[in-house]
Amino acid sequence: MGAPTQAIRDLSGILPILVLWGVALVILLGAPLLRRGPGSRLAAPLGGAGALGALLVLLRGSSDGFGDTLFAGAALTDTLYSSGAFVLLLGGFLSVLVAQTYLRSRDLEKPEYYAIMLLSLSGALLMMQANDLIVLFLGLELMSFGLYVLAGFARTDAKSDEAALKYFLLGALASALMLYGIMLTYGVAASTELSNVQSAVARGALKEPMGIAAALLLVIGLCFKIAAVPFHQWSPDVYEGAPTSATAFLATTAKIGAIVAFLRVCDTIAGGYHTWLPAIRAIAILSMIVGNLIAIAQTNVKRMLAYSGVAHAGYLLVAVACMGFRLMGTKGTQASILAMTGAVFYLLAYALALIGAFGVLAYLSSRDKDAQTLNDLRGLASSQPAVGYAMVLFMLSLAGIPATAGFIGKWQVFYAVLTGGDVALAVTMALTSAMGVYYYLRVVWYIVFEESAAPKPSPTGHGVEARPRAMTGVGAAITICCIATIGLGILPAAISSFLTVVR
Amino acid sequence: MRPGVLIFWLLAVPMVACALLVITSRNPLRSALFLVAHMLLLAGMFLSLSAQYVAAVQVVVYAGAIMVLFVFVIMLLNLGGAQKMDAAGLGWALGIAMSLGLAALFVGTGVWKSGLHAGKATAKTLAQGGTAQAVGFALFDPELPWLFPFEVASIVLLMAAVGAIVLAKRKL
Amino acid sequence: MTIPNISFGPFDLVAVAPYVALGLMLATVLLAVPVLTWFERVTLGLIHDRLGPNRVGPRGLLQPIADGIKLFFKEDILPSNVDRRIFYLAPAISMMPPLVAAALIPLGDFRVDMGGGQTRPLTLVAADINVGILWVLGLASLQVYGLILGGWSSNNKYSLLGALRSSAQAISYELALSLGVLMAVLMSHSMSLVQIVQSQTGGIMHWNILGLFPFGLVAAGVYAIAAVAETNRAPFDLPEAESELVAGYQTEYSSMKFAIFFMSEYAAVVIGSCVAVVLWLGGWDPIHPVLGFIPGPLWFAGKVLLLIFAFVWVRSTLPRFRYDQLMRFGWMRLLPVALVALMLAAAMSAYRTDPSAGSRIPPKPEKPKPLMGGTQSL
Repeated sequence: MGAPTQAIRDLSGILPILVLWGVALVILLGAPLLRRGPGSRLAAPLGGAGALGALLVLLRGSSDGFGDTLFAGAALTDTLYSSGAFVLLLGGFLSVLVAQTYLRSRDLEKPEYYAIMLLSLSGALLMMQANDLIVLFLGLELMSFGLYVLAGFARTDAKSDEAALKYFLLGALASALMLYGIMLTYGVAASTELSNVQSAVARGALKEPMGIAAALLLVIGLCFKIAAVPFHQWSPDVYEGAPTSATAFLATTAKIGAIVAFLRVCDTIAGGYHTWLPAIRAIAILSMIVGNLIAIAQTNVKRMLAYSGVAHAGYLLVAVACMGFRLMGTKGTQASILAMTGAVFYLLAYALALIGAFGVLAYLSSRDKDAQTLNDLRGLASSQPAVGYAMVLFMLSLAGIPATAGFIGKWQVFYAVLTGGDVALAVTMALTSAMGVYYYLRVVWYIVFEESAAPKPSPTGHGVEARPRAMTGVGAAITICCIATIGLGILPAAISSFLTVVR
Repeated sequence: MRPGVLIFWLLAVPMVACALLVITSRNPLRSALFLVAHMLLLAGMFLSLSAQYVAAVQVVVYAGAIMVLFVFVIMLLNLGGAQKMDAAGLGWALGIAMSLGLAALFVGTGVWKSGLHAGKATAKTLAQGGTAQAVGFALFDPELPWLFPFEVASIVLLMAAVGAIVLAKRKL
Repeated sequence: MTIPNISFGPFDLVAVAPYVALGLMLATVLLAVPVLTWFERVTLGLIHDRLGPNRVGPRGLLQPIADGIKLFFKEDILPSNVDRRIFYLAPAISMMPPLVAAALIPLGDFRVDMGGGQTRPLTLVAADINVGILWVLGLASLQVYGLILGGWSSNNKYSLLGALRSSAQAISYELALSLGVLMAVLMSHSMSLVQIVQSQTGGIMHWNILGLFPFGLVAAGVYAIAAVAETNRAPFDLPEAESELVAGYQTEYSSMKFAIFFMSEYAAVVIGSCVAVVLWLGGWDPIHPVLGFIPGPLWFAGKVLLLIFAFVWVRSTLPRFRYDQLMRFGWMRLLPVALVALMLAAAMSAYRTDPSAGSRIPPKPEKPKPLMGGTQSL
């Protein structure tokens, strides 16, 4: 049967995951050497190499096996996976860069951080590659376990502990609900493999009470992970309490992994859209409104970004809702494909801006000061113009101002949902985006127009030392995010070869 | 009444009673014990479905290892005193409503629609399906989709172990 | 060994064999206490160069009966503020697992002459289930509940400490125990106790203790140490360390409830020895086929007695572990050794398996089909 070649084909399909696992194991096994002494400088480069290596392997991977299932139907490779994985691994790499500087300056650096990061990334990749709800669940757990630990990585900080505990308890609840949904799915489809689920849905499984419950529980479980209203309560406290580098990582990783999985699941159960589409639309509209409204009242930038993350989850759910249009004629099919591409681009823009913004906060933090509030950003444009204007750019991108990547992402999703003919969602999206501009611009106001509270030294403590630090990881991350945000805002087609989802 | 059905009721009624007692007991240790009893009865239920391996694992892992840890922690924290529970209230009402809804869902879909004996299992397939060998072949056969998740589960466990140590070890 | 098929009214030997096995095992487990207490005290006396029991009856043989009468007529004290129901339940719970496990122990293998020149195999066992060894492990892990609950419900700090120790100890050593057992399963390719014994037929060189040399020996050693720890016998008797905890979890127990705890410990020793004989020492298999004229059950009993003697021997010669030593030894010595041995043994087993000769692994079952749903429309 040519078993060896089949095994090699299967394994090469998950090569990025294998790279991540390998490097993570190397870090874990080498932890005694990497913990202190000269070896401690190697931990972050190893972590970065892991993420970057996986990214390169992904880009070099041959595309002839695409669309195939691996491991007898447990996993698959397709363009949704490869484009999502591109965004995820890029975000992971940038997060390693942010973490390197931040953990070092906060005296938190341990090699395990990077190993956990890589394992968590592999979990998110598994979610994207899952062709079976069991694999999806395992990926979700692998990703989430890492994120819980990273949120509590500052072990002596009560807020970090609180963040980890809250995230863990609510995350465990979400996982349980999702598992319940998977179980009920097995009840109606007699299988957890997505193709079988799809045919069960085509036979009308989602008209059954059990099918309805299964679909809703799956939706709720995934909504927890992306922090959509009303399942968002954990996110502000977790964002605030977690170390800033971990916040950057968990905000992007969880969202990318869960949204791509969400797209796939909803694409699978598109045949029963009448069951879940109203729920998704309601959650999306609520998230957009509530997230943007509460974000206005925040003075802590991390909390504000958490609520803005809720709003962004709403925008992304608009794309997910488009999956429901797939079987509603040609326009609907077109809308669903546009929405997939749009969502992935949106995730890329969001990850770049968010990691950049948290990178700036990480940059401004030092051993005895953790930059979090608007006051910490006061007058940044005059004290450290480069970082200040970078932050301005990230805020503009998050707000979706034209000529930034954020605008293009938002426009693609907007266009997709209009193609699908859902005017209500489109209008809500446009109005709430306008609402969001207020609080993003308030950050800009603080940076550009407010006087610096402390005369000198700047928030880093030493104005002179700031320049050499810019050369370290976080500086590189901010630079990459800046260039990519502007570049993609002006030339979105530059990256379309990686990001276009083909069906 | 067929013996199988009789065994079902003999197991099911105490099982539900134990499950109810788990959530209504005021003493955490009693709750844990009823959970143990529930799991043992569940193992019996698996056995009556010819899933011998799963039944044994249920006893070894859940009743034997995990619940001992539960009891250990309850005793270590000395949660023996009657804990004040806010009986009644919205939470209880919601919980009762949800469990009744789920019960209706299962009974509605499982029994009312398909009937209790809708399975196509024969004595032969049943005898083959539940042995350790059958479970082993199902997990490790590369032609079935379960090998990959099985291996991934080991990475998940590794992640959990590393994470627990990172968070809990006094001196890292 | 071929035996005639005797009829008892409507029943014949084949039909009653399971009940005979069950009766034998239950009698052994329940009567173990009087016999074993005497045996233990005499042996201890011998090893310690003391007299041992010698007052009641010839050679102190009636001492257990005197002890039993004493326990029976002692006042049954119920301390104040105990959790009564659990306090009463705990001894019963601790007695249950060994009694259930007794049903799984195979005692011997015969051929029954059915008349007309036909024979059929007959195994003297109450219940041969194909995951038997897993059930034994599960029951072993349930045993600890009796101790925990007894210690907790007594409302006494020494009892509670004893209970905490016993649960931590049980969890720690259960892993090593399971790994040891797994190696026997690896060698015998079965989880059924009967098939494990049958796979060792043919004399001592075929027994699992010498299988996959030297890993069988290592595994048997790991199992032996873990089994002593699981039964809370010296040198692992920390839950009832009299120098620190009065009597540990059983401090507040008196009269027959105390006696039942006592019985359950000896019952666990008997069951642990029986399982060890099944797993490692070939069960009822004679040491050399030449000695096959001695009935299997006698071989079995002899081996079990030998192991029980080893239990007593260990108790009489080794000092009690300190608690941290116990944990360190379990997690950092025994478990790694067992894990490495299991991996190496698996590799060795795979290397030795000749693919052309066919393996003892049972053939793959038919592809599992979904038992429900699937094509059936809902």
